[in-house]
Amino acid sequence: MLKYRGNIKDQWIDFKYWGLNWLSILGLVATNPYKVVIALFKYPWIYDLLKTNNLVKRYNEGRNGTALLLSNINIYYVIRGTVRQLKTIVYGSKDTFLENCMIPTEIYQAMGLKVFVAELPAALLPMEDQHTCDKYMDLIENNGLPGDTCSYPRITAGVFAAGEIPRDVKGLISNNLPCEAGMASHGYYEDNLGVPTYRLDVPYNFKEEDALNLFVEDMRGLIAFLEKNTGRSMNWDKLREVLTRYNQMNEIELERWEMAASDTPPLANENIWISHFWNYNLEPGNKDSIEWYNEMHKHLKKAYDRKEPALKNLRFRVVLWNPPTFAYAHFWNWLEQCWGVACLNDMESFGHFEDMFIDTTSNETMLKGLAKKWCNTTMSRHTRGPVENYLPDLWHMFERFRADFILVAGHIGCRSSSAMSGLMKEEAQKRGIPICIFDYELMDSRVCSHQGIRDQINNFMVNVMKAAPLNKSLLVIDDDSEW
Amino acid sequence: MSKNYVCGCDVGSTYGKAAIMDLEGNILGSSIVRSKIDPEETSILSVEEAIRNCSGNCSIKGLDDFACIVGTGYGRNRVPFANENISEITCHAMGVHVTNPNVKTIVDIGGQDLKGISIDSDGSVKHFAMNDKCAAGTGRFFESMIRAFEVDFEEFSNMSLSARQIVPITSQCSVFAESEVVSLVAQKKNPADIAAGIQASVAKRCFTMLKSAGIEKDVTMTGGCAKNLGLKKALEKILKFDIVQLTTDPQLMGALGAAEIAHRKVLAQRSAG
Repeated sequence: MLKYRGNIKDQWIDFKYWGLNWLSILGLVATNPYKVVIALFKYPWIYDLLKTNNLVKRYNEGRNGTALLLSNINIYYVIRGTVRQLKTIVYGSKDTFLENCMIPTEIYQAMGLKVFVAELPAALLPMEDQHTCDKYMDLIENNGLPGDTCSYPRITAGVFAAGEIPRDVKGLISNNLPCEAGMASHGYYEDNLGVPTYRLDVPYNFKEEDALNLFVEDMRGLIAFLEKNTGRSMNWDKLREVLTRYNQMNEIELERWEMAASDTPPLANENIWISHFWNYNLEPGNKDSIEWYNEMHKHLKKAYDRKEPALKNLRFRVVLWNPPTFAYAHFWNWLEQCWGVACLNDMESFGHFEDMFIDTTSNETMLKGLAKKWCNTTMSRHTRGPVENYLPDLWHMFERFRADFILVAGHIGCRSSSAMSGLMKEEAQKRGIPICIFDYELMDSRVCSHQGIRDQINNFMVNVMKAAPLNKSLLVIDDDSEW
Repeated sequence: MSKNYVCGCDVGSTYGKAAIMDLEGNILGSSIVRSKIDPEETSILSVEEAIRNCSGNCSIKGLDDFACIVGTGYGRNRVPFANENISEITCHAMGVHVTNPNVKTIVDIGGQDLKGISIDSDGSVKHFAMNDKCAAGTGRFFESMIRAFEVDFEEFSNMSLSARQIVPITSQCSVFAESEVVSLVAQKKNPADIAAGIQASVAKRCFTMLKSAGIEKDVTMTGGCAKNLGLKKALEKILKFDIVQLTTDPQLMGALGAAEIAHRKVLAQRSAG
């Protein structure tokens, strides 16, 4: 049931997007219900995606006005994107490839290829329901994968082991992103699928021209691989169209940052990272992506002109390092309602986008621009390579968004980020910047419970920030009855 | 009649502590009682005991005589008579600050957690690091070690001081460490050497917490385990400098800090009229 928001306008927004979400989902079924039924048997995790409207409810608790609208827009477009992905596996295509996330998808778009992102269930299901992926993690652990591996590849490998990831694919495209743990699991899929595989190697020393040139050659290799295995040719004009849309999106992204740095930031928390994550990593340059960004931007500008901040009680501005809490998706809403904290940018959304407009004058410049963009993308830049790749970015983010403190999501399953957290803490202390490193597991809430996360934040807010909660009753919430 | 006393009540996982102050900041009485299962009962017992222990011509008869009571510790939300509940991290910092303002860093070893706290010049918390997920290096860890030796706390605390060498304890986990110690005792290893190994292992964990919070001289220890001389020596060896010994019982720092915060609140309210 939709809860009454206190005014007709907000109620209409809730109702409208509730309806649009269901319409999008029904759009998947309408084409061929029989195939959908078959797919539900083959990929039963699709059922869990039907909990989406429940997720919207948890995201939007206590929100009104533009913040409520933007949150609804975000989820609506995520559903549309997910439905597009699901259509690939439900209705099949002879040229479907399985890929690991964060591969230059602009190339597939230009070639008109269908791809299914292997990590999609891992990325979306824990957000819908924190325990829905426990069975996949248990399964793969019983098959021998250590339980302390990052839950992102653990869930993906579990879904794969359960036979719930499409296997009748033309090929597998793998890479060394978002991290080494993910890359290690790709060998398992390769062995099991027995299909042609292409491995992209995204260099971390991307500031060197030689490394970029090497990656350009690597992308040429990917194009040749796709052409050989599909009989299709690369359509460079189509690539130009895709990259032009990406450039438009990039312009909007930079405008969004300017607004976020203002006294009344109209966009905050998960509304920032969800839209960035999807549009920069999964479908950059897609027609839907630019439509999504334009739609958000239209409302953002109005809110910015009205000086309407994303939070009614904005008390603390923060920037986040490390991936957000997927298994506690509505954590941001809790931070907002309990402490008045607005996260204005995060590691996944931050990059040097001023330098990442892609020159579309020639095939060569387009590939070079793509190489630069993907070397600087989420986690490519920030969780690998030397300290120069990430620490200066953290201080830059802190200053640019005029943050009061830094929040570091200390992912227990990530060895390299725990080492980085130590470095960040020492450096932040030297600079006199308050920093809160809280333990969590990216997608496995059995390791650190939601209340466990809240307790750590509560301790920091009370002791270091000397703050009192906006709402005391939210300090400790029963996990069964939390929003 | 004007109420001229304040109280801090620290309900810990293993001990309940209370400290009573007058409005001049003098400590009149304190108590340390073993925690009951019900934190509410622990808080009542500790405050009653502190009232009984009050010195001189103090006229406190009951809870009604306090102008303000601040609850702290893990059971702070269950102190029924507290006017306010404040985190034990803040209270420990304040307690140490009023006892010795030169101290800038604390390692607090509680019954079930281990904390490193860095204090600002006004006694507030600058940074902190905390382990509350695992019993290793906490009071519970020492309790299981003492059980393995079949001695009391004081004896154990002095045992390692006569060690000739350190027998390393490889297990961090309390459960595994206890069985490791039992095996070492059964192998007839010198108990003092084993105890030195235990103290060294906990000292390393304390050092990690301190480092995470930021080490700045002077450093002190609080909590019940601060009375463990062997641990103090082992930590000093790692830090390469002496740890400051507080003049007031280090186990009382949380309650004392809570009382000081209550004291400041009352003074602020009264001066505001």
